[in-house]
Amino acid sequence: MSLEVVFQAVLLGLLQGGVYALVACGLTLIYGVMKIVNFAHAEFLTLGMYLAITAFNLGLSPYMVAVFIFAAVAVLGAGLQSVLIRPALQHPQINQMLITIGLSTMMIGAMQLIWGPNNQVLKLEWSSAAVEFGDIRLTYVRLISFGIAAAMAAAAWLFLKHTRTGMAMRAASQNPQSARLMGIDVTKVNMITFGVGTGLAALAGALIAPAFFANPTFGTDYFILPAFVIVVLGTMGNFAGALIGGLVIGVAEGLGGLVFGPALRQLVSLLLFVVVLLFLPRGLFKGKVS
Amino acid sequence: MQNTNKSFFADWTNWQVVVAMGFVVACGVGGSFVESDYLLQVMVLAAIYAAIGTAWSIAGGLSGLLLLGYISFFGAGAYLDGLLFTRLGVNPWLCIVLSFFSAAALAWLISLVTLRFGLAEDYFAMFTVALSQVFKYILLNWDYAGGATGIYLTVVKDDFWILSFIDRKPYLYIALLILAAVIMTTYAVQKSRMGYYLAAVRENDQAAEALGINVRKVKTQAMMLSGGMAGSIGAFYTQFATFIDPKQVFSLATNFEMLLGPVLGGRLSIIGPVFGASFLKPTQDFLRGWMGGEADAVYLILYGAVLAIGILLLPKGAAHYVQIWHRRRYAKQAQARAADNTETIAIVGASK
Amino acid sequence: MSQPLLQVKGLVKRFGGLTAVDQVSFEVPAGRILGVIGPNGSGKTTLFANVSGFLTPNEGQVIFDGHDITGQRPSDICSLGVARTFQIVQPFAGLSVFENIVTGALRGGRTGLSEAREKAAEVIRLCGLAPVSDQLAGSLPIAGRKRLEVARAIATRPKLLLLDEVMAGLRPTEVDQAVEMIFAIRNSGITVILVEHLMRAVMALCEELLVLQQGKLIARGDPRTVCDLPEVVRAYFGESAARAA
Repeated sequence: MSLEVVFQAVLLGLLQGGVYALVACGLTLIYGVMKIVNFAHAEFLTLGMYLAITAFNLGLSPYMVAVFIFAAVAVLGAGLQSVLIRPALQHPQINQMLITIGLSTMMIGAMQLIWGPNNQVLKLEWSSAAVEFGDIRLTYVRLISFGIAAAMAAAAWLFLKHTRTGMAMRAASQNPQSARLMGIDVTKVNMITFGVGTGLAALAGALIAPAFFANPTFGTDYFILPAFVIVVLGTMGNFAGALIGGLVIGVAEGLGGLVFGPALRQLVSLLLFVVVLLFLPRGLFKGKVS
Repeated sequence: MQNTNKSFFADWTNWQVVVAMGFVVACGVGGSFVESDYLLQVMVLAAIYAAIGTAWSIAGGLSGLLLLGYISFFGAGAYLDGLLFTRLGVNPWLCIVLSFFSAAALAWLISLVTLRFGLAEDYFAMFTVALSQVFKYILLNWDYAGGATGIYLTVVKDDFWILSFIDRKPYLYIALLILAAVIMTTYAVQKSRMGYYLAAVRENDQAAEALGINVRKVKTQAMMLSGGMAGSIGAFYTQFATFIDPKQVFSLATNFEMLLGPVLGGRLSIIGPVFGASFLKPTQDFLRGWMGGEADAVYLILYGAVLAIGILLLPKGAAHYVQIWHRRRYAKQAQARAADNTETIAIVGASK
Repeated sequence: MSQPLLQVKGLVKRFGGLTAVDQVSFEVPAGRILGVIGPNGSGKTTLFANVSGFLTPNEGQVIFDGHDITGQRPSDICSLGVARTFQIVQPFAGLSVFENIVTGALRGGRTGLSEAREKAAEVIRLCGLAPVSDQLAGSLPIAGRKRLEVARAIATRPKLLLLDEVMAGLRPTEVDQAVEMIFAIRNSGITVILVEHLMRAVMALCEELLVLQQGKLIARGDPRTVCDLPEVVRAYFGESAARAA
């Protein structure tokens, strides 16, 4: 195994990891503020993919509409939160989890209805074009995805740190009761958080659309597990942790795939998940929430 | 205050077990008249889901553990029977027993590892879910166990000794027997000291600990009982279905389907999981069969909507309302009792 | 005279950089009603948590009835005869009053179910909870819940009862009833330690007082004397009040 092959795997892993990070950030944001595990998160990613494909069929490049997809799905997410999740926030956790599972099933059904169960693809003319140096080959598609993902993640990070809404979200994640007493409208913050979180997942979906076949269960099949691993690794609720965790998992999977073969890549995520849950349940960042 | 004057049925748990067992007997009797193989199949599956849901309710309902990935135990039992029976010729009845202990051992291991590290609730939930998928992936790649192809049982004739029948009816009777056993076990637990411990741990584990209840031990015992029973049910399933593969018996979708009965039916009750699964599973099967193919997407939307909205409208499950009716019905007796308690220093403070 | 029922030696509990309990040592003979007072944040509840096993001390020892219970599980400590109530009441809200107390009377398995039911009935009578015996614990008013909390604790047949601010939120008549009940409890053979802010109750009940401030034991002795000490006045009311005292 040459060094360059390993290097390629690592770089690809990083690029993939950037997208993972975006998905994980949304998930961890939702958990951090609302303390609920969004089992429907992967479906928002799939939705993003489908929207990008539809836009493409209308003549629009996925990269141009990516931000609009983010916004549209964010609004949808916020709406779904108000209707389905907000009423259950006082209920036992298992109820909340099962509601998001119900939402997940509904979304899969809806996407299957609208776009059909078969694979859809978004073929850019230049999707095979790549940057090459030495034996290493990185497609433009992946590089651009990573770039936009990084930009959006940075934007989200700044949003959390410097805007009033962002700070309200962080306050609510630390202590919703105190936040409420300080005049923060926690209900609205929850809604926005869910919207932003799911929007980020959809954005990630739009970015990876050129690289994968889309089908209704794509998100659940390929992304939900790494997303959960990352969220736990990076400490549930810690935004920066999700970012870094995403990159780490991307590389780990890439190397794992190299060593064990592609069929077992999922197993790598799973085992990592189990290990992280057991030995680092507080994540690498020791329970600190952003 | 001693509840010795009450009639047997005034106690909610007693009332439930009679209703539930009555239902099981009725299904057995009714099932003997059914000739359609398809219908019998539906009934057996319903009984299996009812048993699984009721078994789950000990750990996931009564003790309040967030046991989200329950199918691990079911699948483990299913595969244990599959492997032991087809590869080593072990008697399936014995396998059912062995599956109980193996699954219970698995539960013990999981408890050891998760409770020792003091895993918070939602982490525990995700861990159990992830574990089920780990099993799936391991079995998908394990050739001895059939890999992705799975395990097949050949059934040549009706043979009670090896729990194999051409006719579907014997499976129904056995499934109902298993369901009855699970119901009685749950009843016994609820009526015993264990019932109090589980309720205490569920309601407030700090307070429970302060009263001398070893919370970790109780949670472990609950998991072992629930897990063990799921293992046995899984072993039976293999014999009934005569074909298992990892995607089937460790399916995440099936996992959540199994929780529908207890959660929508009422996970603290006995009748909740029993009637919940008995109603939901056949309805699901019929709908899916009827709507399948093109309408599968519509089915999924309906199913997801029913789940989400059902939980929103019935957060405590349907049995909660039955309990309220029951309490009111037997309240007159309770009032008579309270009037007897006059020999007190009635300084309890205003109850308004 | 035989060994004291409870001995705390050099107890230290730190949370990160904060020392919540700082070298606290004291003894409690059996049959006493001991009060622990001090301004907010002085470490009283933390002390209880360390004695009852909910926290493990960083340093020091807790010896109860001859056993070293330092850092043991709360349920094991309860089995040895220590019961506690919580500052914020922790009833089993979904269970009835009777069921709550039976849970205590089971004593973690040392008592059978029918015997526990009998004991629970007895405790309910003694604590005046009979009229609400079948009511859901969560539906009781605060006084009822506090009474339930104490009843549940004594159903475990403890030798030592730790009461954490049991008077908080009670009306004056309710406070009087609580004082009566605590005397009755002590007279039935249970040693009581109470953390309390309400001076009226403290003065009425306690035979000895410990005063904590910022985790340290600053005074100890007979209630009347202790409350006149300048250190104690200073702890509560500040420097100027101490000089005026």
